[in-house]
Amino acid sequence: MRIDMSPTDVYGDFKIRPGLFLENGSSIVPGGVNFSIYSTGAKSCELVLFHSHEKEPFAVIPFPESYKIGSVFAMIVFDLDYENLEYGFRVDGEYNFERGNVFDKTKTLLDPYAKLVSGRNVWGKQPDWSNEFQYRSKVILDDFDWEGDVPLQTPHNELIIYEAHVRGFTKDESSGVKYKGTYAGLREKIPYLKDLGVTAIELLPIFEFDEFEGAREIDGNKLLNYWGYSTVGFFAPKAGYAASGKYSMQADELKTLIKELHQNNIRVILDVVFNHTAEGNEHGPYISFKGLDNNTYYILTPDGYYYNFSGCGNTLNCNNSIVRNLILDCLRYWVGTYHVDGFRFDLAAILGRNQDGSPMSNPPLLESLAYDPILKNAILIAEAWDAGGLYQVGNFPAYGRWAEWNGKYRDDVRQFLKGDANRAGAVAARITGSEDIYDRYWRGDCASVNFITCHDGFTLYDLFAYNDKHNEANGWGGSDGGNDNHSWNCGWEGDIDLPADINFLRHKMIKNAAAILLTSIGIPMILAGDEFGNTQYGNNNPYCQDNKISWLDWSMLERNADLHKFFRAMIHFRKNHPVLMRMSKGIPLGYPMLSVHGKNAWQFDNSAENRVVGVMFAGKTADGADDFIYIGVNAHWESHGVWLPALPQNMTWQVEVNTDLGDAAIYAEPAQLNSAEQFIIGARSVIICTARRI
Amino acid sequence: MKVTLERNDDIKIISLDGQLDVSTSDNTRDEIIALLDKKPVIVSMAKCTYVSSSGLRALLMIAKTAKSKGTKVIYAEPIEEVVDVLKMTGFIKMLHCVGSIAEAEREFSHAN
Repeated sequence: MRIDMSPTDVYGDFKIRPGLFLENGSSIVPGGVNFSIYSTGAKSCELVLFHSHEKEPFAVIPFPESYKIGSVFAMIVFDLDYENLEYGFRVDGEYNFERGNVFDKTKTLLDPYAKLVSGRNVWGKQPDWSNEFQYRSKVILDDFDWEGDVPLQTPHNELIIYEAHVRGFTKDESSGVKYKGTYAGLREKIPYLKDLGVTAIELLPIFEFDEFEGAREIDGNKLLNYWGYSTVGFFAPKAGYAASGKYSMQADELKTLIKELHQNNIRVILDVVFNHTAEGNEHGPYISFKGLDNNTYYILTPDGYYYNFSGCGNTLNCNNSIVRNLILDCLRYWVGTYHVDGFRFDLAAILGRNQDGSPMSNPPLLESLAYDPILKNAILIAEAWDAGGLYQVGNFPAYGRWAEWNGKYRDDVRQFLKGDANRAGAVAARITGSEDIYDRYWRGDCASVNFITCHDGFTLYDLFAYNDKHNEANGWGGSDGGNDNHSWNCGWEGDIDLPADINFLRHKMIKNAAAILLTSIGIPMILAGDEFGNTQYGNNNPYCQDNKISWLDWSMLERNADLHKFFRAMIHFRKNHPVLMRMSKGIPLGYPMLSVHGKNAWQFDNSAENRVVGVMFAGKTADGADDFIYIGVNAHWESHGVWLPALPQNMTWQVEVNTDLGDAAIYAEPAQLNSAEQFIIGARSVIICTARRI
Repeated sequence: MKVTLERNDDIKIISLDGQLDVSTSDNTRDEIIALLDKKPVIVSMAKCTYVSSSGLRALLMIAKTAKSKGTKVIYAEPIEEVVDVLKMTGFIKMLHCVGSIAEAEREFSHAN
């Protein structure tokens, strides 16, 4: 029994007392629930309580004047059945659009710190739009048995990231799991991920969003906000991704998933969207921030309209100190409470914009994140551009701490592989760690997240199956999605009546890409399904396609077994060679760690028409022996002979990988090379050699 | 929630009847924990019609307390909906559940 946890007042049927002013949102306290909310412009605030899923509140309790310190309202309400409770706030204040104040006391607002959100508990279930309170805050019992788990501590160098959509990963019948399209379903696939060998899974947004935002029907197909890059609640896991979402147990289901991923040495990275919210512009709905403190949370024009650097209607005012604290609180919560290992920040350049929208050289938000004690070991990855034209690849304010999605890696490797001229020098720089972009001294070992494909754009199979995007199903007349895909269909658009030789070439091109990606210095990222040739039928922007276009087709795993085998082998190859992860303890005497070669050893050919690039990595194996790796890439449509660099006298080259050999691309037994002869790399092929002691 | 000690010889069998939610889970947990000693425990869940988030914690706390006392709890014959909740949330891995009381008894007799 505590004095400061005992009721002091009565309001109607409710015993209440002043609450915890240093808390945010709701929390369970002895005998009751604490509710805390801040609003700088509010004249008054009411707590609105609902029984689960009911339209009308069972109580509206105004915060008494004495329940406020500064701009924080806090109240404890006793004897609430918090499991059967949903709550919101109504805030009264000025309405003056030009000044950015749009308070409306008739709106019931979601708690911006809600740890659970109800209203979209079951994915795709049609909401009752007559209900004025759509996104409903719930109280969480934050109590979980982690069995000793903490975020993984292994070096970031070991990362091999696998980018996946929670729903799309297992929703298709072919996934074979029980709880399809959910956190629990993903958990069932952990053995698959472990066998594949990836060391991190990066999840497309899992903060609560509304799949019905912008929902449309095109040619009889229901299109949804499938990707979810539009946050409703920053502290709440998407309930519709939980098999147990109908019981509001999504937090438990997600925590169990993360715990089991960690038990299998797989980290969890969340794709987070802090550049905008689901409230849109002046025509969008009141969900939370708009009615709480519109001109605090959003970057507004001088006459009160929303700046749109995100391309999604509004821009979160990230470098306002209140918003900055909210973002920091949010990330700390996900690391501290969910044991998340890192974040990839969507359109992160916005995080460095000032309150007037201009880019800052030393943005306080990014600095706070870089030095925060809870986030100390968290992986921070920026998508270093935004829709307002700010492109910061290579010069994102990083504090030696941030990594970036290396967009140049994607573009250069794609162009080189399809045979474009003038790309040999660029691709050599990409394979050797993009030090022309990321100075290792300032940016560390892991600044470059290398990827050839991601959710945004073609899958790897489609990259070599389509010259053009095929986005008709998205309903925008083909105007959506990027046009700079650098894709090549290998001579046949799509899959209908696909000739066998074209299919062979596509498989080879995919293996070429995988071989390059998994030997390049930097952090490799694989798009889920690429390892078995998953297709989106040429759609390069299926953000709205909650159907077979987006869902992984696991039957491909059998049909394209050679691709899966190749990816798996390359992942294990990478792990067996510390030098590829910049983890080699020492280098062999007389060799540089990284060297680039042409058809002749030590003679790199930077000419426009050269399409043959060799890279040698020299380091030590885990047990301290000399380790040499040579990757030879011939992107030309003709075969070429290469001379491999000479090895120390007691070693000889052996071929481990040759993508020209179809299903036999991975040698069961490495084949010894005669160093007195050239090695002929087949047209559009990649070889990987290692050194053997003789 | 009705908690009944059905049997108390070499094994304790405790039955639950009702919903295990925020209004009942603390009391149910305390009642069962008060019954724990060194003997193995079977909790019959056949008439437990619902387990909420706080109910899951109660079941886990009971199991952990039993372990700390050097014994073990087996949850027997949970209804399908409850099993589903345990599976989805992953609590099934931390709670020992079996399909029948007889099966639980067999496990205890094998353990001896």
